[in-house]
Amino acid sequence: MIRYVFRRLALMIPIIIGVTVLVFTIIWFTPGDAAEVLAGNAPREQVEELRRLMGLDRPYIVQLGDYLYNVFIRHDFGKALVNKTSISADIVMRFPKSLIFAVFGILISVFAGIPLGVYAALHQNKTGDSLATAFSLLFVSTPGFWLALMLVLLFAYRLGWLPPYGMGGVEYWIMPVLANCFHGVAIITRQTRSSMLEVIRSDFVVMARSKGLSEGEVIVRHALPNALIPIIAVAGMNFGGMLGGGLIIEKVFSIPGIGNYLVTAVGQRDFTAVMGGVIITSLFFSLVMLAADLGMAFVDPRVKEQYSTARRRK
Amino acid sequence: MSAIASRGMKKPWARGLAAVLAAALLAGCASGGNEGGQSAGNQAADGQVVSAAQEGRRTKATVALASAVNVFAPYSKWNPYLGIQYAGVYERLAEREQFGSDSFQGVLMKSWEKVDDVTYDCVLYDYIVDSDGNPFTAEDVKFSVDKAHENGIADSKYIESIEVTEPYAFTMKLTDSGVGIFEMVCETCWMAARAAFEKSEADGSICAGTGPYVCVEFISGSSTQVEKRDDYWQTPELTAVTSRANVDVIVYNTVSETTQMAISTEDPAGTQICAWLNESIVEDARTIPGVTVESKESIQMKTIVFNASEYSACSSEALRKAICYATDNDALITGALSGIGYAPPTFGSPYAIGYNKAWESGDYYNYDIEKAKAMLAEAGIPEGTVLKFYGPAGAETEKTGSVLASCLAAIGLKLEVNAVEAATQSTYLNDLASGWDIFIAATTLKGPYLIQSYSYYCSSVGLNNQVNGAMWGVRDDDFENLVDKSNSKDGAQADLDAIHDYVVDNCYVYQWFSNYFTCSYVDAIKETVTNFKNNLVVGACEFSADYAYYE
Repeated sequence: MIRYVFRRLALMIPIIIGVTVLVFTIIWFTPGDAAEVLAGNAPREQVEELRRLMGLDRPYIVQLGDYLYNVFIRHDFGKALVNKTSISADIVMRFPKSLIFAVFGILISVFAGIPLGVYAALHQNKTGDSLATAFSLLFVSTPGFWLALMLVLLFAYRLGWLPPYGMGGVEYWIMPVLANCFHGVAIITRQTRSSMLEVIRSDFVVMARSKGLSEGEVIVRHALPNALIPIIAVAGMNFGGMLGGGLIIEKVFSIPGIGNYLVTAVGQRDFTAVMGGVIITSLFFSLVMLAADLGMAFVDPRVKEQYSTARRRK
Repeated sequence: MSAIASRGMKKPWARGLAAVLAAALLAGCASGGNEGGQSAGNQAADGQVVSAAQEGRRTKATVALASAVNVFAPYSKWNPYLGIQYAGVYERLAEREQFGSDSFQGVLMKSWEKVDDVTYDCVLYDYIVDSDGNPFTAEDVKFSVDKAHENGIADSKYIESIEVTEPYAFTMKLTDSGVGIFEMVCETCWMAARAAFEKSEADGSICAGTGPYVCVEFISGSSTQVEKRDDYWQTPELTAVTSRANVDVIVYNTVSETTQMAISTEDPAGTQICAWLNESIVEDARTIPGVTVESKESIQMKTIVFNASEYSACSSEALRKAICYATDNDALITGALSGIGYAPPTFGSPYAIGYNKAWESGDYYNYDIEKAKAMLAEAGIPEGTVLKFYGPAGAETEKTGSVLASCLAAIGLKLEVNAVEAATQSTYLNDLASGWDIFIAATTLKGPYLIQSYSYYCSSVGLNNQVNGAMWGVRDDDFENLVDKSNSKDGAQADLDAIHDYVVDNCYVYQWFSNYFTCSYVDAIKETVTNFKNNLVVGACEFSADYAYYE
């Protein structure tokens, strides 16, 4: 298992480098460059001079090598073109906010979605199932920003219980996390329901019941672990989406997270900040997918057995 | 939250879910009952209608701003929201008293004297102290200008050098003798003491400023809190208008989402000032009791730029004029801008020095379909000709483009509306052969004098980056000569009149419309104050005696 983890971690290196090269290349080919951003509407000769001073007149491959060296060897993303702040420091400051937001979002999605899905599967075609299905359909099709605004209207404006926006204590996080997680809850509920329906009709579940195990034990110890594999995959994708894709919720609640950072940087043509933000987001997305794969390996006895067999063979 | 989650894990799933949601809601209720609802805002205590002089309580203004500020440091590139938040914390050498004013007042500078066309001897007040207690000297001016150069702050490039002559005196040498350059550079750079800046770099704190407020909390992209200094250095009678501090605490919150902003306008107890309001929520804001809605002119003008080069049909002067005559500005303001904007009566900004009110009496292509048709016939452009309109990606280009398309349809022209991303805009604009005929550009006042803006946008010898001459793509020597003459020390109003008439007669560009910046504020604020860029200066606003919003 440890071997597997290391192999996956090693595989991440070319992925991250590949993403960096891709992002750099796309931005390199985009019309306009950092010198134009810095120079504003300065005469063309001044822009050219700035371009020369910044090394932007060098060949693509030299600039790419320079960037890769700075990012991977010196761990320096450089300075933001517009704000002149350290991109690494900006990301360090902003990323935790997006991470908190995504972690709590996925925790609620998992801890609410799985029980709901299990309940729906165990009560197939009954009222509980219909309610759970209706709930998941409703929230799958509800845009997050709309839900966020409805929460604001209710809890901040009408009831005055929660602050409408901003950063601060726990109370500031409740609405953003809820708005961000409902979609995830709905997706995981649907996935859990369909996985469980498949699993509970399997022979091994019938066998477990025939051995006289209680219904709870059958579900928790036999059915659910086998149904979890696709759920973990879906949860992993959802987490990644919440991490990088929560920008609309970040905007609604004025959360200075990585999504907001990226959108602002794109709007300001701050190429270096965009590159830094995208690379860090992709790094964490890779880590999340690794965690999801490890989670699948952990809960699936067949995967575990596969690694044990590999070890015994050696 | 993690404790809640872990408790949930020990229970059956359904109960766990219920616990998490209930706990989350309870947490909100518990804190919301007292402060939660106000912590992003600022509510007056229950039932208070008390004197502002109530002892021991500091007055507070909470401001919702439609765009975020991501950095709080003096040597930053200006934008309107940064301008609002920095006002009162950092100061400039000198600035105009207000938007459109021709009265230039010293802020950090006590006096200045012109030595020659590009050299000025300047003297600072000798008792300036920032909020950290650092004295502010001529060395700090030199340091600040160097940092501005380093950070590429646009107008600082006109300062060639700062020579410190005495502890509180320096000589400023400019790179250009153009009209208004000295005033512009004085207004450009926020100043800070070197010691304060180096301390902030070393310990990551906010750089202290010389203004009457000190920044006590800054959450990048989210909120800023500034508090009034007790030890502001300037005497009341010499304090610049924009350095007044009429409220004790100001909290700026970023509220970039329009519905959230609409909600903030309806909650004057929580948010006393909202700026700037999207056009779609202005009318609703006007109906809120106890709230005043005020629209302020923007320094930006949306200008139709014609591609007057050989690559476009708009090289025909008659066609350009036909388009202008066919443009129904009333329909534009009502339809595309929801009434929150205006069409300028002539070419030029009335808020710049040199603007001649008499220009307004002329015909600035007032909507006239018959004239438009006649001009089109003169141009010999056949009906059904397709023109390409480009503008920055966004709702405004879509709306204004469709209004213009319907106007041109009335004279038989077709308009293809294209939106381009900001990153590619100048590439298109500079490439005259790329197919654009009409471009909508946001032009801004480039200094106190109108000639500075004319020079910047209209002349190839000015500051624009056009490779083919002026922003309309052709070099016109007659025009260049007019600009040169007006932009020299011998320039007179008659020269400016000549430039105005030349641009209008040749119809190279057409100043189309300007948006209003609209803010809403509680009635207890008697009057809002803006600076020379028409940025709100919250601390300088006039608060009535019954202003009852406290920390």
